Amino acid sequence: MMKGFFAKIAIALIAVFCFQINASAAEKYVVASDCTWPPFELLDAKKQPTGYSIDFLRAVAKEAGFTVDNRNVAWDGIFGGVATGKYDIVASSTTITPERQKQFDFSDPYFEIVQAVILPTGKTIKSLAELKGLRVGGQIATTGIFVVRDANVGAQLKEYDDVGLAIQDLIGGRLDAVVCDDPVAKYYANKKKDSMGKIHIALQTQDKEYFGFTVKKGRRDLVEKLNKSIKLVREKGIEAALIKKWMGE
Amino acid sequence: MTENLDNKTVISMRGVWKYFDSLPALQDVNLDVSAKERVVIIGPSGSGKSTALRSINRLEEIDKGTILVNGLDIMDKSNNINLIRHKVGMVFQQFNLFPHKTVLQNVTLAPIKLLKLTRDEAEERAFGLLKKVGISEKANVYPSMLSGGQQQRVAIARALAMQPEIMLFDEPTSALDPEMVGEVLNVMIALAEEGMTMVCVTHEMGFARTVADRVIFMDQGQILEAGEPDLLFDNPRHPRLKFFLNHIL
Amino acid sequence: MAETEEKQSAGNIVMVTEGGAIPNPHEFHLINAWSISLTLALTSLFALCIIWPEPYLRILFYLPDGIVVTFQITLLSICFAVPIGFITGIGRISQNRCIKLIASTYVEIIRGIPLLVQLFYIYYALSRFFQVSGIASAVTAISICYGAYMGEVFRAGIAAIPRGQTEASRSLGFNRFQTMAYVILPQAMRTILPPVGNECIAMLKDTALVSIMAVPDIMQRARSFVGTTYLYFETYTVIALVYLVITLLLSKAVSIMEAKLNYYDRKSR
Repeated sequence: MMKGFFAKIAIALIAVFCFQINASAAEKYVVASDCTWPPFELLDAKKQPTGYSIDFLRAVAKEAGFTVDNRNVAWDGIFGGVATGKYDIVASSTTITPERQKQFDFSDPYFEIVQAVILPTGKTIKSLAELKGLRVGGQIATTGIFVVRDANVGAQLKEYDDVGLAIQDLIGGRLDAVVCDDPVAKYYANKKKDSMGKIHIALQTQDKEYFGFTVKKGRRDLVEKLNKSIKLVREKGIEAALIKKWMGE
Repeated sequence: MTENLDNKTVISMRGVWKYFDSLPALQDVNLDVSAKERVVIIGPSGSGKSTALRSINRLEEIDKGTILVNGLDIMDKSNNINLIRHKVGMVFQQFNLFPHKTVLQNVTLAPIKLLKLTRDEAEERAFGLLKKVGISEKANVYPSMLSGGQQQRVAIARALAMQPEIMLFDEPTSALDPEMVGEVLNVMIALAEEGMTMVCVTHEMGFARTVADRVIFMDQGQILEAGEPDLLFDNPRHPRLKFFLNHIL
Repeated sequence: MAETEEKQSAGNIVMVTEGGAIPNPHEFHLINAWSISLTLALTSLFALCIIWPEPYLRILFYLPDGIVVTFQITLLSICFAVPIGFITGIGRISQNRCIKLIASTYVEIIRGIPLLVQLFYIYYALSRFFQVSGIASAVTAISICYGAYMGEVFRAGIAAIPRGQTEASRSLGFNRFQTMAYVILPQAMRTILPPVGNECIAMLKDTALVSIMAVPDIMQRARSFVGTTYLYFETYTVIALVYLVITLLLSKAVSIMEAKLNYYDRKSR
């Protein structure tokens, strides 16, 4: 009996192993996203990654003829994972910056944003300079944090693991402001139930930022594949549909 | 109190019972000790003699009966047991010197903290006592450097520093190497000659014979025989005392 | 009955003296391992900074304010955790059933919850009722958590003092508090200090968890540096070495203090 049982397990394991080899032969890419960045990356009711970036990449994959394996990954390990080859593609609202380009390759931009400063309802500022001395929160190692740091206005920066936690501290009063991508700010200020109405976008920066899909340095093949399909997704009007689906209006 | 206490009676045990779990360690023990009397308690191990001694200063809490020390009921909450203990010195089988204090500090600690003596007064008293027990040259060393006999003599000096009216000795020589027994017994004999009230649990029958006014034989938690030493040792009446003496001598 | 108890306490005395004897060869061994580790850590740190000042020196210079925050949290937590531990330890051996039960329940509950969860709980979950700063939350959570651990250390340390010491003290007329203060604690310090020192070092290492509450300690400085430079290997190598140097220095300080507390039976050996 026991022998039969172990044999079954062995067969099952071999089957799984073969299946994986087959799957990789069919060009399956591991896609990493930090699902704390709505509406671009978030988890659905079944705890599966979803959002604009993820849908966009799925559309791209369909055009390019590869399949994706979505993973939810902590933000500050995400670049390390792609550098070591643990993930093939990062689809996680990654702004293309010169600093990042030194270390990674990027696809063509798939979205354009600016940075937004969120304040409690009723408070306003006219420039980043007015953040001087205030407790400003954001997600660790995101461009929102970089923008405030580079502005060098003397704000007290607090770096959270998750922008949602920063928003919670803003509502609770432990922060004076939060900086993040403008669609994310809009999501928290206008759509998310527990923060809606309590906070608002007080300021948006002038400098535009562009999201790109991030791959390991030197994977030109993958970049070209992505770029070609991004163009197709745009031309076929899928992009417009996705924007409507995730950003509304 | 129905008894009319002789004002010379300093310890009075009446109908004392003590249980360890459900086993009786003392069964209806009655014992009176007069001022300046030297009482020696003998008996096989487990006979309850140490328990009887330790109950006199409430190191063991009795379950039934009364114990009066200087006319004060030691189980009565309105009598401060700590003040009663000032007048009852105790010497232990294992010496129990404070290892973190020097010989001198061991002797002066209680007088300084409890009798509010100045350091000089306490040290003067301590040196007097250390000289008496013959160990004044070791005043500034730690107990761990002393032999067992020396430690026990310091322990006697420590107890005497509170100027007690009664001294309790709980097998003071049982933990000593044979060659050191004499030095401790000599100190005790000197103390007896000064007229100290003493209750002593010991196996030293020679000591009992020379020093004791009265010898008490205990077995199985009961006092089986009591009397002057010569009478008790030479003409034991109780069979268990006979048996005990035959085996120990 | 009394006789058997005496034998037990006699056994305790033997145990304590043996416990005191072990550190000598043990300490000698420790010093060896210690000096090798410290030399390795310091030389690698210096070598990296001298050979490749970019980026290693830059990483090192990015850290000082993080080190200050780490020490701040650690020291504040020690100030609270040690008294909490002491009170808990006393409570655990109290004759009052109620106090004993409260102390034991506290230890059971806290020991069963990971520190990370406690940090989240105090900072994020309880923020619904009151808001405290990240550092205050960190100090609170770490103090409560380590207070429970140290309670066990204090309990064991006090329980290891032979009963004869208490009896000798009580027989002289000292009350329970005086006995604790003059006789038991000074002796227990010797057994308690090394494990308490170790808990403090463990505490310093655990402060790395507070970076999740946006507290800019060493760990968060590192993460934020990595976030802009993507130099994972270089940054975390430096961080590991910095933590190692700090904890090695602290463990040395503990062992020096330990040796000083052994004054009263060193000469007899």
